[in-house]
Amino acid sequence: MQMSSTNRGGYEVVSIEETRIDAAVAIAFKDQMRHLTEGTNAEVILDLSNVSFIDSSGLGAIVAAMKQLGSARKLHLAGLMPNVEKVFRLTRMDMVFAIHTSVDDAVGLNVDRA
Amino acid sequence: MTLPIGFDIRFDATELGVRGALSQLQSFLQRSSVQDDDCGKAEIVVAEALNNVVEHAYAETGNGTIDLRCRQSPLCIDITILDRGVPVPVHVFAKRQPPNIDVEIDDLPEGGFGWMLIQEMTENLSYQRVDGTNCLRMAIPLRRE
Repeated sequence: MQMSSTNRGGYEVVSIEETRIDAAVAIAFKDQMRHLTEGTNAEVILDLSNVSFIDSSGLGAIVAAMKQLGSARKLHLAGLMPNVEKVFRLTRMDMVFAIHTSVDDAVGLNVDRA
Repeated sequence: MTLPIGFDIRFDATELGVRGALSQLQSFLQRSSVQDDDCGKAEIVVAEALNNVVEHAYAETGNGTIDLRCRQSPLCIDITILDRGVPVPVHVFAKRQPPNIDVEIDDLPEGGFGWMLIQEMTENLSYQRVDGTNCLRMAIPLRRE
């Protein structure tokens, strides 16, 4: 599964280069998220702006990724497309994550800290 | 009277088979001028139903096929999913509630959302078992102008 990570303004921004986080890639997503995020203590912003579809497996994998970070590190979500946002909203999981319109918006919170 | 239009496909009960089927469904719905929001709902509920077949129906035998039939009318998209796997237990169709998110992070659910999403976004959900075949039907209401 194609994902990359970069540091911006004290956050670790993980970009998903795929268009789908579904049953076919949920396990790979979880494993790669753990791999990409275990090296730092930074809060993580998951950039979903390329993702046009997630199913309940994908949602479960994102919840698992949040748990992997531990309670001290928040998982932010950015760039949710309408059909992805719908899945979060209907399952009430939109209340569990900090959701931002874009990565810029998410990082903008940290301007004073940097 | 507008005649319903539709398509029928058969594919392997695997995750990649499901991706291919969903892609064909999207092409069909877009060609039929279904609005993006309704296409999105259809893709989610069909994905959830197909994922359940892949995960459970052929668990004992290891492989099998799925038939997906889709008919579009002005009011709704009618979906029929057929498989020849094990029967679906009745408790699967109990009314689902959204998860309780008022819990510690470690206790948040990572699954069990699929049937809830199907129930939220479809009407006339029904299941029958006929001659060793599971038949799941659902209708996605189309938004009217």
